[in-house]
Amino acid sequence: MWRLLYGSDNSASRGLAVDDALAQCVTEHRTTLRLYTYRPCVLVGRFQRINDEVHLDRCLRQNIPVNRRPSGGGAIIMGPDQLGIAFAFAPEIFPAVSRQKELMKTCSTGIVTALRNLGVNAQFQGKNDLAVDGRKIAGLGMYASGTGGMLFHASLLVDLDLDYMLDVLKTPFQKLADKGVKSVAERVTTVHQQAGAMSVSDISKHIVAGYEEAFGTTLKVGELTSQEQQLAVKLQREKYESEHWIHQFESQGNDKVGHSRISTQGGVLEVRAIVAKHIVKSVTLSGDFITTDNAVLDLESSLRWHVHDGDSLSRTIEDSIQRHQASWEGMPHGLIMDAVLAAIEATPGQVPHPCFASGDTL
Amino acid sequence: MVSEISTVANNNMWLDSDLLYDPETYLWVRYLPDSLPGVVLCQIGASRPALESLGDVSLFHFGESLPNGTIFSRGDIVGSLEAAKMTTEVVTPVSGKFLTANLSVLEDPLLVSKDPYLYGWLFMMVPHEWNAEKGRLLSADALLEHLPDDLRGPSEH
Repeated sequence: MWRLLYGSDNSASRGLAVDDALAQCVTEHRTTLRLYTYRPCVLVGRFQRINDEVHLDRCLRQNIPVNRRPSGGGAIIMGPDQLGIAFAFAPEIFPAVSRQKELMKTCSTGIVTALRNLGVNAQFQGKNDLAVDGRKIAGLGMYASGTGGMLFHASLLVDLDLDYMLDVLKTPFQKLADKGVKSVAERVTTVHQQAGAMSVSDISKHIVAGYEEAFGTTLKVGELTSQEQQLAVKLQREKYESEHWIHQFESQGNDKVGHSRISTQGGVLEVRAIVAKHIVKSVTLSGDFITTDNAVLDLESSLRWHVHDGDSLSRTIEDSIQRHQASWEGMPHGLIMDAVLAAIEATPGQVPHPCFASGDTL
Repeated sequence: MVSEISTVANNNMWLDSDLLYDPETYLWVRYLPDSLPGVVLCQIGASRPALESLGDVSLFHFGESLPNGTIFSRGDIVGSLEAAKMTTEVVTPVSGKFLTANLSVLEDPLLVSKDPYLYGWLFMMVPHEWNAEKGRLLSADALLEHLPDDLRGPSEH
């Protein structure tokens, strides 16, 4: 039997501190699923630089707190329409999973099952998303605490105010959206869009049932232990309300942006890449070339948060093109590869690639 | 399942028989009794099984400034890292004084995966409890016994 915790209207620092405390206090006999919502806030990933991800001035103006998760992944907005899912467990409860990198997919099966029961076919996609037909419906993250406890984080988009999101987050798609090409709306979806309007509390019940079904367990509503409660208070005060934690990495360099453009018989392909020091953060494809959305979304999501390593990037691009070979007909595979690598390598500070490409700083 | 334990440094060996291993984290420890006159050091890094479990490491972080000179106990968090699907804390398998992190790895984290047992080491400690703590570390052979089956050698994909 696992413990179930509910919560709503958490401040950013309280919500994160409780999750962190749950992870640190995990034992093999105490597994917890926590379902909760935040007051409107922005949460960046563990190693992100806030100025690269967030319009901080706009957040300040609207009194939207910005905080930092212990888990990885991208910047997200959280609020009453985004369900926070925290799953704290000891890795020993999944003896069949020997590689920690596989735990994220395992943990997400509770959400996949819940969505399937609502008639929504969500699948694990790319590095850390759940997607429906290639459109992101939940962002995932994972954190291993120093005590060995694991924390799986998910943000399920029950509903989403796109204008508000684009106002506070610096998404990689903004410049493209301005040009009227594939927009953010085509890359994300929500539970409301997929399954019809329903309350966060109703969806929470489905998530509970999804976890019970996926893992053959029973969830029973409980409370924080006094040890967890005390640790959460300490972590909130000393970590998640600390400027040192929230605004770390500000001294590091900005993200870099690179572009490339190729013309083929299949049409014009434009690629925009955002590269942090060792990571390709995003690659966005646009143009009048003809292929299916899924082929583009698969290539984009495969490259999101990809290690910046030429051989490995080439393999990932090739694998994605092979998965959707029929959709890329008319576009020579070598040219797609060249255009993507050129955009990545056109970012200032990287070695230029022999293609029509240019670089910029965000 | 192919396993490879080698005494000859090469980039592809699975475990290096000259090193000791932490059974919890699969970090390796290289005991260096004579590296400097009168100074005993321990070099610490990530083993191939650790990297196979975590996936590509893209970032090491030891705080805004390196904790050089800080005294840590075995199990304390000295830094954190970002791997393929997760963030994780780096805990020291050895008590003692943190001497330095590998600056080359901070600059190029891919070095850890490319050369985990030599140039890709993570940090260096001056051990304070070596005689008491070395018994908690495993030889390469013992670690191989301890590892789950599919971490006993390189994956085939």
